[in-house]
Formats: sequence, C-alpha cells, structure tokens
Amino acid sequence: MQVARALLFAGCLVACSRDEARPRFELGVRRMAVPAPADVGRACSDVADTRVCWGPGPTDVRRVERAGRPQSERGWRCAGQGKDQRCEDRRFASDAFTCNDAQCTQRHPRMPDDGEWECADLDGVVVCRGWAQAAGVVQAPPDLGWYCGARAGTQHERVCVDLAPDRPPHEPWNCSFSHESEGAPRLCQRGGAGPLGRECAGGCPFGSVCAADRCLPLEPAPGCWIDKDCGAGQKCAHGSCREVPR
Amino acid sequence: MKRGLPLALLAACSSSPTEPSVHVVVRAEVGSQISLAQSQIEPTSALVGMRSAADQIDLQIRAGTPTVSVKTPGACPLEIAVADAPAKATVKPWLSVAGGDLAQIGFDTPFSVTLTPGCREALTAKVEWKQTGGDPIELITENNGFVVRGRTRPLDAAVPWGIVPLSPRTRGEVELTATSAGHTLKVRVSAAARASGLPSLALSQRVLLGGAGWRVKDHAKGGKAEITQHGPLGAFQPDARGRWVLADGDGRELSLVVGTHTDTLLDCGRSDCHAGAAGAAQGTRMTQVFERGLRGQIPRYDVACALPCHTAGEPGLPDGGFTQVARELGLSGHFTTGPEAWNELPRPLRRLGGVTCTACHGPGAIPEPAARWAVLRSDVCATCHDAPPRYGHVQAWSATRMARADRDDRARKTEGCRGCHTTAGFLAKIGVRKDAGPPTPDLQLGIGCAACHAPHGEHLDRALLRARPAGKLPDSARVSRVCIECHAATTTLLFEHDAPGAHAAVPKGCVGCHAGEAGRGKNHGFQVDRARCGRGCHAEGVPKADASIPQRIEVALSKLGLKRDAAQPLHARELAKVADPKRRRALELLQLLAADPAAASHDAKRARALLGEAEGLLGIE
Repeated sequence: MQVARALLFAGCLVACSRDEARPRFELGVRRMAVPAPADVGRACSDVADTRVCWGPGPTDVRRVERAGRPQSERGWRCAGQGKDQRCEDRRFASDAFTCNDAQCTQRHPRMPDDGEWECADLDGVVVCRGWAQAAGVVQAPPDLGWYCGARAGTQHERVCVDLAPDRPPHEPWNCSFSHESEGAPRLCQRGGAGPLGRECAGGCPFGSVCAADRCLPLEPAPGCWIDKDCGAGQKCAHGSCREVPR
Repeated sequence: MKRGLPLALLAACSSSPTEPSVHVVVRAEVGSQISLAQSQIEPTSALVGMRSAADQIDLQIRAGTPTVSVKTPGACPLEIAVADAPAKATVKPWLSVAGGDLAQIGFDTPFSVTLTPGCREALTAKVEWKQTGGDPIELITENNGFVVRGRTRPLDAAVPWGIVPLSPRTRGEVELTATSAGHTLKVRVSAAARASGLPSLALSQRVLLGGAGWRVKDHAKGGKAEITQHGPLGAFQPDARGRWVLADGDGRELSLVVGTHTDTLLDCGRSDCHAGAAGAAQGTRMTQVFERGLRGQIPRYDVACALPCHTAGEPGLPDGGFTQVARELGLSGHFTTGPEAWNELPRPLRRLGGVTCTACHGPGAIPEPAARWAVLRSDVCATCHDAPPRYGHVQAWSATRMARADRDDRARKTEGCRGCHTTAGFLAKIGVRKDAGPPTPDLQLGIGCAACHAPHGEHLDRALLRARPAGKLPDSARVSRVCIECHAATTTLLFEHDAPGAHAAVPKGCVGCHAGEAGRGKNHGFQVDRARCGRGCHAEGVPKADASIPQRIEVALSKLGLKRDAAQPLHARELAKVADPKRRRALELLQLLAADPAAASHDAKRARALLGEAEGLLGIE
C-alpha cells in the first residue's frame, strides 16, 4: 500500500511538473468539503437556493450568504454548518428531470434512505413518511441533507424533511409525487408560488416566517405526517408540529 | 505530441481553479458500458480543474484553449472545440448495437444484429465476428461485418403445463464478440428470457406455455396482449401491469401477476409480516454478493458478467431491473469497484443490487396464495444456478433420484408419502411451512432446492444449508442432518440403529462420501466419490460391496412371496398382514434391507447380521 502511494505521489509530481502552467485539479469525486463562513446560530440549511440559519432563540430565523460552490450541471446538495459543511453533486443520488414546456418529470426522486417511503411536496419542501427498511437490501448511509425524526403516535414510522429538494431549472414550478404512477415519480408543473425561500409578497405559508423579505421555514423538528399526529393547538407544517396562532 | 494523462493520475493532483475557464461536462453514452476512468485528455495544460467519475467528467478548461481531445479505451475519440464549447459532450462507443430486442428472439428463429459506428474511423474499419459463448450456431456476416445473421437453436427443455421454465442453459443464449480495429463488443442474443415458472411475470417478458388452446380470459387494465403461437406452444407477452387470467383449451386457468422490479415494495420485513424471513435473508450471500463484489471484496469480480444473476431483472428487458434503471438514471452501465462503490451507487440501484426478494418471488407482486407453492420449484433457482460450466447445481440435481422423487402419482398425492417425496410435503413434515399441496397436482417437482436450502430460514453455512436438530449424527456431520429427515429409519440402514456405524462418523456425513463431481454445483449429483474413500479410512483400497447381500435379500423375499421392484419399492406397497410373528419380524428386517439399495456399502456388517437373522427366521440355510 505504501509502495502504491509512493508511486502515485511520484507519478503525480512528474505529471504535474511536466507542463509549465501546471493544471490544477480538485480532489473528491462525490462529496467534498465546502466551508460556509457566513453561517451563524445553532443550525443552518439550504432552503431552495437560499441559505437559512436558526437560533440562538427558538424562533430566530435569518438568511445568510451562501458560499460559492464548484460548477455542476445539476447543482450541489449540502449538509452541515460553517466549516463542517459537506456537499454532494446532485447527479449521484437521483436522475435529471426530463422536461417539456409545461411539465418536468423525475423518474427516480431522491429519498431519505434505502427503505420504503411515501412523500409529499409542500411549498417546495419534501416531507416523507417511512414505514419499513427494504428487505433483502444492504443498507448504505442515508442520503445527505435530510432532517428526520420518529413519527408521533407510531411505533416504527419516521418522518424526514428535505428543505432543498431537486427541482427543475427556471422557477416557478409546482411539484408533487405521483403515487398513481409506477415508482412514484416526481412531477413538476409550470407555475405556482415557488418554493420556500421565495419573496414574501403574497404572504408566507404556515410553518414559515418572513425574514429579510423571504419566506423562510422554522427550524425543522420532524415528527408529523398529518395534523392528527400533533397535540392540541398544533398543526403539522412541513413535517413538524407547530403551534397554531390564536 | 505529448501523451495525455490518465484521469486517475490527474485527479490525484489537487488544487482549486482560480483562472478564467469554461465548464464542460463530458459524459459516457447511456448504456454504453464505457468507463471514463482511463480517459486521456490533451493537452493537459488546458485543464484548470476536473472532477471525475466512471461515467462523467466535469472539466474546467482554460479560457482561450482552442480544442481539447478526450481519448477513451473502447470509445471514439472526442474533440471538443472550446471556443464555442458545448456545455455537454458525449463519448460514444466505437461500436454499438442498433436497437432491437435481442433478449427474446424466439427458438429456432432467424435473427440479425446490426452495429452502429460511433465515429467515421469506426465506419471504415472491418468488423470480425466470433461466437464466444453458447451452443454453436452458424453466423453469416454482411456489410463489412456491420451486420451478422444467425438462427437460434430449437427449444431443448422440458415443457410442463403452464409457463415453460427457462434457465441460462435452456434459454438458447449465445454470446457473439465483434472486433474492430482492436476494439471489442460483446453481444448476447437469446431465444427467450429466463422464466422461473412462477406466475409472476415482468412487463414485456414473453413466456412460452405448455398445453393447448391457450387464450387470454381476463386482461389486466389497459392490456391488449393476446396469445400467439410459437411453434407448437402458446406464447404470451403481457403489455400491462396487473392481474391476467389465461385459460387453456380445457378451460383450466392460469392466473398471472405482471409488474416490474421497481414497482414492487420491499417492505416484506415490516413487523406484522415476514420480519423473521427478511432478517434471515439480510445476512446471506445472495443479498450481499453484489455489494461485496462492488466493494472489491470478491477477487476478480466482473461486474458486467455478474449483472444478470447478482442483481434483479433481465438485462435487455424493460422490467424495472438493475440495468434498465441504470439507463433511466443516465448511467453508462460501467461500474467500478472499490470500498465506497456500494455507498456511491444511487439508491434505486442499491435496491436492485443483489439477489433480492423479487428475484425469486417476483418480479411483480408476490403471486396469489393459491400459487405460492410455485416458488418451491427448482426452476426458480435454475434461473441462475443452471448455467454450466459456471453453475452446475440444477443440471447435476436433475439427474438424481431426488429430482424424480414424485414421479409416481401416489408419491405426490398420498399424505404419508408427500413428506419425503415432495418438497412442499417435506417442508410441512419438518414444520417450516404449511402444505396446501400444489393446485396442479400433475406437476412433478421432486425434492427440490428448497428442501435442503433455506434462503431465509435457519441455515448452517454460506450455502444456506437448512439447519436441523442434532439427532444421532455427530457435529462433524451436521451438514447431513437435513438428509436423515428422510434417509433414515425406514430407508437407510446406516442410521437405523442407536449406534451409528463407522460411516456415520465420516466428516460431513452423507455428503462426505456422496460428494458428487468436482466443480461448482456439480456435487449436486451426489454420486459416491470413491477416490475420497481411498484418501481416508480405505487407504489400503476401497473394499467392494458384498455382492451376495442383494442376492440373499431376493431369496429371502421370495420366501415371503415378494419380489424387489425398483418402480414399486416395498415401503410403497400395501402388503398383506403376516400372522406368524417370526415371518412378520423377518419381513420387517427385509423391508429395511430392501429399502436401502446401498445397504451392503453403508454398513455391510450390520446388513449381514440383519439378513442372517431374517434368514434364520425364514429357515433359510
């Protein structure tokens, strides 16, 4: 192993010194570290094409600048905060949308992990309910960037939330999962208000607040699929139980 | 001109792009099986940055560079004009097959394979064809080798009533290899897709039907497919998902479930269903083989070669299997191995990467309860384990008496016989499955794979040999405990008495001697390997069986008015009651001796003792 490393290093030196203007290359094929220096507070996440941080207070939500990322055809998907942010090229976990003028279809949408999931798209946030591991499948680490928790009132179910799901280029699109079709593909129709992270004009949906003129979600605390999963005086918004204002 | 650098080496040189540059995505053509890992890019000085994977390279090309070329083994050279650089460029294979379904051409049917050149250079090079797999067929080439014609061989498989099972051995597959200017392309042509005999079909999978006068009685919603004739057999190719009902000329019905591997939920293990079975399957080699191969844990693992049997689905069919989904994901179909290769596979492929539940129970939803017995057919295992010379299990087993254990009507239908003459009966006898009996009682399945192997039950080893209680066999022979569920007591002298003879101590027990032929799976013929005996206790020479014993048994039986008949063994006959206690005891002893054709070998000393006792009771000198 050490010999192989030495050979590779020697080869690299030869290769890199061969030309006067040495080419520069990036390490990392699938995931890479992309520090996010503007991140503040307790936790941060991409929300569509916006960067959001939460905390220190329970209702503090703010928009921060998103760090630059290498060029990629389908964009990047990131998790973590500050210097610990890691990003993955979106093309590795799902297929591209195929589009015509009015509709785009993603045949194999991303899911939280290898198990069985049923998903819904609410205001550009994907919320999934999982009820079983996939039998006869060797499990791999979960997909990057989901917030997950146990579904309230159930023994085995989980709820996961994706604040920055794959979306076709050139918003606005109104996306949904077609559970009537084989494999539950994701369908996006031209139009709609756009995903969370949009401008506040026209109001922000329940479970989000207007901050820096953008509709930004409260920090996810996944645990509900429907309103009945939440306690009295609460409703389920984007997978999290939220107090209904009186 | 400087030679370009392999990408693997380039990627090792790490830095980040800072100069003005153009972003170009170079992708391997979908389904081409091209790997870009060994691509060479020239001039290297034009590259500011790069990210690479097997089927896509993201290049940052220095602004102002006129052209960049990409040379890839097995592919046409690609020249990218950077000034007006496209955002994407595709590396095309040197040669590819032009359209057409080559996975189910039909038996004894002419076919042609037409090649498409990926570039001008490929068009001018001559193509040579050679058959590199399957039973020999005659090939005729045309158009400088860009077209090859042949004819598939006639069907050479058993034709039971209903779906005709077809394995890699019987599906009439040939492998053809085209060579052009040092590039090679392997093409597989098959008369039919594999079929397990299970009434669960993949969308577009054409199956042959044994029986006569078939028609579609009930179509699935939106389905229009009808029965066609394929020689003397009916053929059916479903064009819609859901339930179909076919009926033969006598009105006998066959209910089919049609779906795809990706349609079918894999939540079999949820707590109120098959949690035990799912848990047991999780750790087996069948589940893990593709994952281990991709991770590089299996030496010399050939991913492309493994796909038909180590992943779900039939390559070439739109059945929601691994290769189809890989195409839908836009992948080239070339998969590199490495410690992280499994984790980097997209989720939809991981769910199909392995011998999954649907590989045996599907591909559509699991059949209706009345048809679930069908999964006990060895034809299910044969879809992979009947591929000699690589996998000889089912072919070797087919030649054994176990495969014919239920050829007698009574053996299939009589409750007392089913326990050791049918797979379903055996599994019921040992308490692992209810025996509802097959709804097609004429079908002969023998004692099949599922009797001795437990893919999701308690098993002993990586061969998934069914675990059974210790009984009288020593631990060294525990792999044979499943055998003595039937090959004991009334049928095999070796284990009848409390102190097993010397042979019971043979390491591995029964299969220690009945080791069959050497070679993968060929041991499932279970013939005695006399060379083994010579290497062990009988180093001085393997003694010949005492030939007088069978003759003496015949003489003793004749004293009771009986005769040995292989077609009707004593234990299957209804013998008249013998009133005389001496003659009754003699009959018991002779029944035991006669039931074991190898009594003289299994335990000659005891055989002689028992026979002597019987002869004494019958007054034979």
